[in-house]
Amino acid sequence: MADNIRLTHATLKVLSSIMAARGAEMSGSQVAVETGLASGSLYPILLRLERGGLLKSRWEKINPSEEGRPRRRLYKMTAAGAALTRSALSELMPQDVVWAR
Amino acid sequence: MGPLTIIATTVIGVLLAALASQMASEFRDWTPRWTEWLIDRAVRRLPADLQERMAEEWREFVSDAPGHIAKLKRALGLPWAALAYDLNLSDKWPRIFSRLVGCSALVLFWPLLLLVFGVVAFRGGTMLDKSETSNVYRFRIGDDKLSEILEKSSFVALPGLWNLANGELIVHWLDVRRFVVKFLKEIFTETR
Repeated sequence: MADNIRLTHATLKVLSSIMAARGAEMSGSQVAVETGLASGSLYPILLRLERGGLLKSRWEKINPSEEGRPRRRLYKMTAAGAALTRSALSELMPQDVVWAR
Repeated sequence: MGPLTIIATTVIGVLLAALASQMASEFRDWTPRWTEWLIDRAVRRLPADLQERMAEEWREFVSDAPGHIAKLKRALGLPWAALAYDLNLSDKWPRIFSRLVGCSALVLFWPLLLLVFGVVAFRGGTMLDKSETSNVYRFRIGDDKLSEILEKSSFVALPGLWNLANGELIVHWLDVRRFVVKFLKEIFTETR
């Protein structure tokens, strides 16, 4: 499934911004701010990456009435996603750039 | 400027300011309704198994934007997001584009194609070959003069246009642009 995902410029932006969170989870809103992508391009990418097994998502565990805001859907890199991002970015970047964990 | 003009300008200024603030408050009151309508439209375009989740997720996504204009801007993109996801546009677009390029090239260059095919047919024997790695057609190359000309002029790859039009071969738009630019430059320098 992951083979079908085309790594466009926008897709790489999304992957690298989630990669830069170093294992932390990000909401769609945070990814939108980080990448500067409009919702029309961001969400098809997020959903397709999740369907392809490169990202996974879960509902935030909060009590909305206590927090005073609705719960967020949080996205996180899977191992397959991290491997693909690393190899795609290292093709684009100089050899000495290493992704620290 | 007479006193009447001053009074009239002041009155108009005050009225305009009142109207602007009224419009701003109308906008604030209406944006939740507009965003709700946009989210609703977007969600209905999604596959059934995603609808409930995305309705909640998108409501949070829109409400998380600072300010009413930013909220509306986020909501405006959502119907497009749903449509693009549903149609799988970003997956299909390269193939659609390649087929368009292939078909237009076949239409544009058919006299040239006919000529080259005629010459190659005149040579006799098998005309076409498939490349080793893919199913892309090319002219069969031997060690005669014609093969040399075909290879040098890149005409050897002309039958590949058929694969392109058929959607079996993908071409990137940057390559198409490079080709067109080179082509135009050659024409331009020749006519000068």
